[in-house]
Amino acid sequence: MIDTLYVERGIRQHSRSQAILQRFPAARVIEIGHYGELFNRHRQNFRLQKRRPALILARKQGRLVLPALTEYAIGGEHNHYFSHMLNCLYDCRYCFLQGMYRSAHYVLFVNFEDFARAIEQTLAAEPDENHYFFSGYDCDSLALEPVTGFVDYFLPLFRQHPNAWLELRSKSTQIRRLLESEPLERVVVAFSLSPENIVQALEHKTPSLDKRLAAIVKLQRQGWPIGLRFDPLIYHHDYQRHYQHLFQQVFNQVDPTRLHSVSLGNLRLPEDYFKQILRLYPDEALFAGPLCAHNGQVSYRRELEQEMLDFCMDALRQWVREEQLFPCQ
Amino acid sequence: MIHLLTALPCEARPLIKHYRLRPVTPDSPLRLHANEHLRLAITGVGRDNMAAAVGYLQASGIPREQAAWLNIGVAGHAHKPLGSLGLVHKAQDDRGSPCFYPPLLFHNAPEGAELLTSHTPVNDYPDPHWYDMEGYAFFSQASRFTILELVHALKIVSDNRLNHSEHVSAALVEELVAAQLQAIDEVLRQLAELQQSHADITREPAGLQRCLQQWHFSHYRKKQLQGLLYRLQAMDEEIPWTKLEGKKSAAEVLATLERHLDQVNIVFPTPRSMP
Repeated sequence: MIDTLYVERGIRQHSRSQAILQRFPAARVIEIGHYGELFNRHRQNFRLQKRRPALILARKQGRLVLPALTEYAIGGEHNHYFSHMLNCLYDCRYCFLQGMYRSAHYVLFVNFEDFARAIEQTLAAEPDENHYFFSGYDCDSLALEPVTGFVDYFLPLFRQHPNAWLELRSKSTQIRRLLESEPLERVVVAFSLSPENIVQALEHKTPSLDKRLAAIVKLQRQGWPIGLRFDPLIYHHDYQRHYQHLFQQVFNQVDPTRLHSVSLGNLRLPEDYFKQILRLYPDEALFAGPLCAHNGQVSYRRELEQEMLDFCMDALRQWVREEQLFPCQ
Repeated sequence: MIHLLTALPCEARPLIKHYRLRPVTPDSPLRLHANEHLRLAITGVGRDNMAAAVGYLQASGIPREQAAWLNIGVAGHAHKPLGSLGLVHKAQDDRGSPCFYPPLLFHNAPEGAELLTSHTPVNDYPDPHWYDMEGYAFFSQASRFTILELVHALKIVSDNRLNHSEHVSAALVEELVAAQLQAIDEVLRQLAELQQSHADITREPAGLQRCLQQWHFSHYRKKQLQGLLYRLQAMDEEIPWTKLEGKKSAAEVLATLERHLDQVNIVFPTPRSMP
């Protein structure tokens, strides 16, 4: 899967780097100074690189924990995010990462200890408040779990701090380490779900809807808090039938009464990212849809967004309590 | 089109023979050979010659086409056996300029080579580098004209600590390059495939030229037209030429296409499992 590893000179001897290097004994290993030397370089083609991305092992510097947008909140007031990885194993056509980064290589920041310190400092600054941390903004939280060991490291950290919540956002079925651990009520495993026709057409390289549902069921049975993320909602002909069918498939298997949260979101891309993605995929049907630019964001027309959101919210209310629902607008 | 660049005639000769390249433009400042898909330039030794050759090839190439670029040449290495082939995965020079990391998208790629381009011959070959006198200039110039994925270099070891460069003859170099033709073939095949994929991504939408010939579009409106034609293409829709007949201006053409597109459904195929 990964046949090229770039390693920053400064973290080559880090135990996590060493373990990952041992995991890929046949890979070509190339030493670099700073990941930005190749990751941020101009004149790279994300679409071509996505055919064979390399893994870059690096040290995250600067601010490691950042404020999260309130529209992504799932009930908390203090929301933060941190990114132990940049880029994703999957290749979802609507993903903003394609427009944000010049390179499709995966960057893994191996200095988890520094992230932990930053998280603890954030918690200590307001110790009487609950803090929500999101780990899946710039990557899929779980997709590369066997390589990163993210869950192994961060679960004990969140277990130690009663005011710390974590959302793992994923489309992955890499849940073995979670299943081997005692569930923690403050760690929400949130799965992004779309109708199967959207999975097949736009969510390339991702597990099928059935496999994601099977993973959700296993985790829920074991007691893990589950989040469902219908985000982004994708407009297409007959979308109501497809989303209605999706919700039925989901709630035939998942117990809605034990869900932590269900959120919905519209397709939104910063205009600059959208232009870049369109250059990469001018032949993509998704971008031929009724999209328009407004205030620097590209999205469906306002009335269409509202129609889709209203339809899906109404449909979901058959199964989900109002306080579990979080529309992102 | 793929541009092949070698510094020396003896590096080029096996390639010219194998790919049946014919001399072109005898009055050109560069020695050029070509066939339908490849253009080979013998640049001369050193960075300046390489940089000048890349610029010349680009300027005399097909306008708007983004060619792929491959430098093939011999290099020194501390202990690699003569004839070892390396695909450059990191290129730097002896002036401390920023490194190049050519994105490696090849299947079963040759061994990786960390190239150090020196302005003077290197005789002690400190590890771990492969040493040449042009490679870095090749990367820094060729990457101005296309994406990094389409710029690569293959190096073949011609000298090492046991076989110093003063013993390297033209005949030996020819022999070493000829021995790697199969591997070079494979890299060229994959490079051509990547270039084709890139050309497919950047190809202008069908019908654009016909519209531009028929109506006058400002630069801004041409971009709008291009976007609408791509949308039609993405939805597998034909251009509604009959609706465009009699339109007098670019604005009318754009409005007609917009209206047509608004009526087309976006369909993502329904899976068989769905009732």
